[in-house]
Amino acid sequence: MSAFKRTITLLTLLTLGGCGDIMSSYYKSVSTTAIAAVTCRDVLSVAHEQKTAAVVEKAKTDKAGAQVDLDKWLPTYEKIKTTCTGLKVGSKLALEAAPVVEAAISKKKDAMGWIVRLGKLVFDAYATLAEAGIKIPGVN
Amino acid sequence: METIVSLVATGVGKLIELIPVWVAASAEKKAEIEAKTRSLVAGLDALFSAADAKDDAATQAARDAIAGK
Repeated sequence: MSAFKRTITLLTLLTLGGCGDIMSSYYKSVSTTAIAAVTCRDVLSVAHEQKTAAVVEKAKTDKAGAQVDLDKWLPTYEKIKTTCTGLKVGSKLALEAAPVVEAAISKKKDAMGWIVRLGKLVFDAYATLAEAGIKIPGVN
Repeated sequence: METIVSLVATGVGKLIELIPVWVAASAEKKAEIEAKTRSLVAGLDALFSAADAKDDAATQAARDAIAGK
């Protein structure tokens, strides 16, 4: 099963699991996004450790080649880091918006809108990681 | 007919009795989920800062190796 399908399944289960209370579903989707942010940052850190260790090793015999490798990796690293930060900020903003969502007359619609937005953030993050060839443990 | 009405009335009565229990369980569960979510999100900044520091050190080590330090 692809990461996309797994994530869809996970979010669907999380969302439907709390149909009786839309705010519980809302908080579950915020938690899912926060966990995705943690996973994203952890996976990036591990990848960065491996890439920089390889650069250090290469620099022993080929400094120019090591520089090229580092210059090639760092923009990818920054791109993924931005994505992970986006997940973190998204989950924080969603949590801050919770009282407003709960108080709103059309809270169900507002909460579902947030759940969809958070879901999209997670999909985008997984896509960015996959694009960079970084595997997420347990997902792909 | 009288029996059916009685059964339905009893059933409705039982359901009405259950509503406060459902509401209480739901509110309790929601509070628990909310607390866990808040705790999780609150820890994100520290986790990201620690990861940034670790990654910056690794980048610097790579740069130092290239510079021959």
